[in-house]
Amino acid sequence: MAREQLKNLTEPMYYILLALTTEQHGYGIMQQVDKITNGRVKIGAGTLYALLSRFEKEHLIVQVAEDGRRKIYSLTEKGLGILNDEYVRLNRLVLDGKAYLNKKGEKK
Amino acid sequence: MSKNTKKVFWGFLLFDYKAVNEYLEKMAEKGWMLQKVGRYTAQFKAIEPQSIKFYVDVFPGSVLSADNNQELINYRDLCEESGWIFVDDYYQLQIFFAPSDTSTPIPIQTDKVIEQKIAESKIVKNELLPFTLLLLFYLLIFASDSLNPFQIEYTELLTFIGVTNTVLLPYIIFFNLIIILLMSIWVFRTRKAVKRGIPLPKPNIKIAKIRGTWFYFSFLFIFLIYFISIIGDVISTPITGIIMLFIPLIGVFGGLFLRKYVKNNGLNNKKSIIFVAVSTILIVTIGVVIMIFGIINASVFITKERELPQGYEVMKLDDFYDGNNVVLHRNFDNGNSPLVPTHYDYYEISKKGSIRTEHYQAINSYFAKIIFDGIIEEHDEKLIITNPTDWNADDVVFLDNTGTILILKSNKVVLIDGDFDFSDSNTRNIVLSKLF
Repeated sequence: MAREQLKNLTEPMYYILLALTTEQHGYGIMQQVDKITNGRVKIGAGTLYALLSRFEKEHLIVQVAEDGRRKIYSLTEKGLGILNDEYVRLNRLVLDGKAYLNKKGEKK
Repeated sequence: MSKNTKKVFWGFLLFDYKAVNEYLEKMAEKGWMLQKVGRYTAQFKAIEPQSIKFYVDVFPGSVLSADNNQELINYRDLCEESGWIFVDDYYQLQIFFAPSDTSTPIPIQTDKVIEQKIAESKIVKNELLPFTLLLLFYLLIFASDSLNPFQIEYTELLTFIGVTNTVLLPYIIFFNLIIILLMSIWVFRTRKAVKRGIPLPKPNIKIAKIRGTWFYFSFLFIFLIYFISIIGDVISTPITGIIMLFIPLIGVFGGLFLRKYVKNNGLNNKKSIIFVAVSTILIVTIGVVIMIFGIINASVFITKERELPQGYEVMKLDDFYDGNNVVLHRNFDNGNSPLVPTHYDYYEISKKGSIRTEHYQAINSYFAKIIFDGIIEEHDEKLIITNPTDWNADDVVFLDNTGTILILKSNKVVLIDGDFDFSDSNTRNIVLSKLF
């Protein structure tokens, strides 16, 4: 069910899960997403908090340690699977578009 | 309060939280920084006028969260790490600001789909349900009052609470309807904004303030009027009134106790939830027991016969039997309300017969007529109309038979019921000489 609901990840969801391929605390995730996307994607603290709660509830991530008051999270097998599925899906979209859009670009 | 701080009426409805940012920013530009906020008032401290960025967010956790709730702490920590400084909260709303000497941090919510969902589930749904239930409850009272809900029931005019219900119930229904309508519009507009991919609508401060002020003042007004009405009824009928006063008091103190318990301990474990559930059931049970006990006790009190105090115009058996009569039972009962400042009931029973007088003195003839018509409606099957001029009155009817007479004169309504024939001129003269 959860897998079905999260079939297509939104941009923030995708980058949060991507950031969590290494263990991170909340603020670390925000910084990591900023770094991965060269500042293109920003995730607000409230949005991150809501998504982390949802991912945790659906067992996509798990708390692995605590650093003071900070919770440190990591991807679960399930989370990694969903992230991989999304990566494959996005790749397919890019490949599908490549042949057509590149040609169009050449014509110009 | 020193000149460095000031307390103002807050008055924002929860779903107008997006207008709060702008309001607080304007206050800071005028030299006032938010210190503390509640649902009704907010405290500001004087600062150098400056441009400060505020962000009001809806906490996605439970509204019953404790102050030391770990989830709330984690959420605030995360917001603070991202550059926002926590100021205060009220209900679900969390208020943050960014110091003027730093660059504006990333907004707390960057995904309007998530933001809309949190706001809808945590603000509107939490309030829409109780308001809808209340509306249904009031509509039920309104409809059950009589077959025609727009007709005033005369019995409602006799107590403070009854008068308040009659006058305020349509306004309370209107009040509930407007709030439900405003919330529904909010849900519709925010969902539409999400669908179109545009920012969530931000209400105009002035409009938000006007509706917030209307809401809180209406609420306060309704609460005060009911409070005064309860006090009025307690003074008017002390025993029943005081017993009945215990029910709302138990509700209020029980509610405050539970709120304090939840604030201190949170609702994070099954034990707490069971405790709150059991306490709620206990509070309701105690209320019901007191109500039943109160009714029984009041009826016991009422069956104790009360002598007729001085200064009340009633018919007595002695008026008809020339003192040659031993009264076996008698009772006096009275009450008052803003629209019927005096109403009382007295009866006497002897071996020879009985007599009862019900007396209603309304503030004007309009309300006296409602009482007069209301009493007739209760007896409409055997109504004998008589000539009012015989009785020097505005209207006179015999109810059921000539042993029960109802008289309307100006703002006064008198019902006399006894083992006498009130169509007889001698009996009439006795009554006229005593009561009119």
